[in-house]
Amino acid sequence: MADNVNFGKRGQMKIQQMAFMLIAITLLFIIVGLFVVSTSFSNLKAAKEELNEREAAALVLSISNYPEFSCGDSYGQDMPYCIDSDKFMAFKSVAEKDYSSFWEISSIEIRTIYNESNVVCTASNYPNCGIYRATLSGNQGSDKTAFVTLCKKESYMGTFYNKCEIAKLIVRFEDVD
Amino acid sequence: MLTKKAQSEMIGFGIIVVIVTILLLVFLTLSGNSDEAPSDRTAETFIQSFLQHTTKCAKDYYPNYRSISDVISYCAENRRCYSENETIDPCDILEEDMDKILENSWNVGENRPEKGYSLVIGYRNESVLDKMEGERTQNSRGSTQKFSNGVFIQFMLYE
Repeated sequence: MADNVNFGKRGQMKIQQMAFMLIAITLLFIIVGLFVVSTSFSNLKAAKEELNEREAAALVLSISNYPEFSCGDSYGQDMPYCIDSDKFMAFKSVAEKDYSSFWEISSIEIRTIYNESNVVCTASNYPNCGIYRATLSGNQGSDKTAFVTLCKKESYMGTFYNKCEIAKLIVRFEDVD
Repeated sequence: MLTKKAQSEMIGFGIIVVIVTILLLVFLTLSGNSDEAPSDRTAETFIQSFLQHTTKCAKDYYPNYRSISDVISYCAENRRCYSENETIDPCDILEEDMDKILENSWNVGENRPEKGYSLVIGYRNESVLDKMEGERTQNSRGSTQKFSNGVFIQFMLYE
């Protein structure tokens, strides 16, 4: 009888020890989990801003591939981020009329880098200029830039050749209310 | 005796759990830190754009002007370029063009967002051009690209 009572008390003691141990482990894991969650959420705002920046940068680069002014196969090889300056000048003349509500972009600007110039290109001074600007709408918002290759066909003694130069593409997005 | 044995087993189990938890925390902390500079889209497009830039180096005849990508290999292979009725060293053209492109593309300095940049151009494991401007800081972003023609380019921006 005494032995049964002792075994019972021992069993209860073991059960209590196990229960305390399980509570302690659970609390430990909760603390670890809270630490991990707080670390993750503290980076969430920064991650969101970085994602927005990347999306905008990706959009700017995709603009350089729009068929309205991209090089396509005109220059013999598939060049990424290549803009044809002749096509862009043609696009510039119809941009505001035909594209103002097509994209949420207020303007597209390309600035040559190697031969820097503050002269804005027009039909009369092209190609002796350095800023190619197409205005689509009057709503000015934030802008994003990317490097592109600006190409055109030039002639030398009756022979045409490709002349490409590095340029900066600046896309101004419309303000979204 | 049995109680003491059970208690020591519990303590042992508890110690193991604590050790595993600490190791997990250390692993999580270390996996979040990376010393590698993330690849930057702006740097990528900068590299791809300047490689296509047409230089005044003509190969064999006019107007067969070559891009910077070709001039890099000419420089490494000690070939000559034709320019304005004379032959010139392609390495000189490469240096001159890259100096101008870098200077006009990046405004670096102590009071600017970008403190410095570095550009390394290599060809088949040989260094062809090495440029550094401004200050090298711990915070960097850039791009490293290898091409099938053997050209290797690394461009880093320091912030």
